Order: sequence, then structure tokens, then C-alpha cells
Amino acid sequence: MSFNGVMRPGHCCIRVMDMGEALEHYVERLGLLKVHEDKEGRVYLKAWDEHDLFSIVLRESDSPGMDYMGFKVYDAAELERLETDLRNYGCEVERIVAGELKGCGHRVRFQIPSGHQIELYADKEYVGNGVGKGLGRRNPHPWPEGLKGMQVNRYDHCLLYGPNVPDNADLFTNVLGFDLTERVVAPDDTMLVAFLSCSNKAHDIAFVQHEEPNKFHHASFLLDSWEEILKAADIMGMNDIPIDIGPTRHGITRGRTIYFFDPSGNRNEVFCGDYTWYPDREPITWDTEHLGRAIFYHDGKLNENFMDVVT
Amino acid sequence: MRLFSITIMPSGEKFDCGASQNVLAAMNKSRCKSVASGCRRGGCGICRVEVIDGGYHTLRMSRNQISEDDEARDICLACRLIPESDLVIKPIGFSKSRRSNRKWYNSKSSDRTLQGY
Repeated sequence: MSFNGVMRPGHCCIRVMDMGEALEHYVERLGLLKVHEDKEGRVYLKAWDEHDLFSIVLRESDSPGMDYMGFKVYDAAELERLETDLRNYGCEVERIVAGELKGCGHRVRFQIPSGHQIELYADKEYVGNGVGKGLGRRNPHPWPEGLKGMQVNRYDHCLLYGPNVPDNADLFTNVLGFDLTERVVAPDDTMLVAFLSCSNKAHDIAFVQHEEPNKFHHASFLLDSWEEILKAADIMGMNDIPIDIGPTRHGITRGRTIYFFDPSGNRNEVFCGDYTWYPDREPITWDTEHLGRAIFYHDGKLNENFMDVVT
Repeated sequence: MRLFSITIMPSGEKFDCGASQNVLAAMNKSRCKSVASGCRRGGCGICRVEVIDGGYHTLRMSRNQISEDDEARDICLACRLIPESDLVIKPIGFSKSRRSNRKWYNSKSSDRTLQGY
């Protein structure tokens, strides 16, 4: 972990099958704020406590899933260094011009061994978090009034499914500077699940072994408390949003959580309360025979839908 | 509300489904659990069924899960399947490419043998 390198998940482009239904879900129910719609019809959203212009981009398509996930890096020099390191590591790297996503500087896109498209960028328009004058930087209030639905604080991480989890972990730790925080290993020590952090969080991205490449398990949004997760579940009940599982507790990360689906079948999570990571910690290892408890701690039963259902 | 009878093959289980209700939601309100439920929104593909007999229409489904060829062969997702008459359906699960995913976990058995990893 180094806050001078890759800093955080900065955006995620999610494919939806009906933009109107998707906006009702992500804006009215999760409480994201619509900030822009571009000429291609992509809609840009942000959570209130993010300071950059957008974090979630919705694109209408005939199939749900994730187009790409972007990480913000500390500055332009660091972006250049990481681009060189990725090329030297053997990644095919594509440069996407500044402004292709509104308000975002040029992006460095590459495919990781699980088949997912990952991007790095250094610049995005700073708009503040809406809690007062000077883009929220001067004598701010603790939160803005008028938020909707679950009132999520921020887009936090993604869990992605695909092959070659150990290769992904190698790329993220040895090139991008992430720490491996938790893993699930087979009896022969093969890594089947990897949780990785570029920050003080228990995870910024995670991978689960799956033969089909480039699958999207979920995008997760942060809430403040267990009580807010209960209220989020109430909102799901009020609006007939299909719940996958929860509210419950993860073994991995110790996060408090509920999973549910958007109107195109993409899984979302709202969560709170994972632990604080420091880079001098040793990673936690889970054995596959304890996989049920690693994922959902209380009953220790493995939830097959959680293992199989992806977009 | 007009009700249609849905029959699941090969078990012959039956449940009722309203004329504007999707078959998976109707099944989940009955005791029948023969079709797997996943995202329930036409995205994940776990509730694939073949319609053997009867009239129906479907709501929007992921093209990754239901191809044009599938549609021509009356294969669809139960969560997006709206009956227009009594129906006979057969659960068929994930498409071939999805079914080929070897499971490295084993949720049903205490013998958690790993398959090839």
C-alpha cells in the first residue's frame, strides 16, 4: 500500500439493459447523484461523499456486466511510471484520450489475466462532496440534506470472477503495488480467491476463480453503520428489489453486508465495518473447507448462488 | 387476475401464474422449487427453461444468456417468461458455456474434493 501510487477504485462502467430502470435503481434507491449524460447516452453518477465528478458510469447494452474498472493514481508521473511497468510486465496497454469520459484525464487500459479490463488515470474533475461552500472544503457540514434511498457514501470496490487468480494477484501486488489481504487456498496451496488492497481498506478489488473470463460478481457501496444496512434492506423490501443474501457478516474482511440485484441482474452490495489494513500485516488465509464461513460467517453454509450467479 | 397453470417437466409439478406475472416469481410463491433462482431480472441465466407447450411472451433478457437461436427454440429465462396460456416448461439451467465451469468448491458434501485445481 502506498498513497503515492494507485490510490483507490475511482470508477466502474456497468452495462444495463434499460437506462430508465437503472436510474430508478441507482439514483432513487441507492441514492447516487446523476451528474452527466454524454452524447453516447452513458450516464455518470457519483455518491455524495466522493469528491471527483463521477464514479459509476452506466451504459445501455443488450447484456449486463462490467465494461471496465478504473483506479485513480496519485499523479501524472506515477501514471507514466505504472504504464511503463505494465508494458515491461508484458501487458498490452491502450491509451484512452482525455475527455473520452467527461471530466477524466487520459486513461491507461489493460487486460488482466482474468479477462477484465482495468484502467488507471490520474486526473478527474474535482467537484467536492456537496456539504458546504468552496466545494465542501470550507467549514463543511457532516452530510448533505436531500439524499435519496440508501444514501450510499461511496463506490467502494468490485468483486470479479474469472480464471488465473494467482496471476491477477501477482500483477496487482508486484506491478500495481497492492497488498494481498486475504486469500482462499486449496489443499495444494493454489490460490482460488484473492482480496487485494491499495489503501487502508480490507479490499479495493477481489477475485474469485471461475472458468469463464471477465465476469462481474458485484459492485459495492459503503454505508456508515449496521443500522443503515438494515434500512437499506427495508428499502429493498419496499421496492421489491431482489435480495441475494443478508443482512449478514462476512468472514473475509469481517464486513457487515447485504447483496441485491439491479434491474438488469447485476449484483450490488451495501456494506460497512470491515477492518483497517496496514501494509506490515500478514495476509489472512482461509482453507477451502472453511469457505462457507469465510464468505458468510454465521451459518457457515456455502451459498451456491453467491458462487455461481454473475453477469 | 386470470391464472394459467404451469407444468414443470419431467416432474409434473404444477403451479398457477397470473397473466402479467413472470413464471419464476409465481413458482417461488408456490411450493415448487424446480427452477433455480438467481438475479430474477433477466441477467444471470440460471433460470433457463425450454417452453415445451403453450403461448407466452418474454421481457428483456441478457443476450449473453439467451441467443437469437435460443429464442427460436423456445428457450428463455423463467424470470422473464410471461404466460399467455397454460404452459409446459422444462428447466435446463445455465447455457452450455456456463455449465462447463468446473466448480472448485463443493457445497453439498462434507468431502470437499477439489476438481482439478
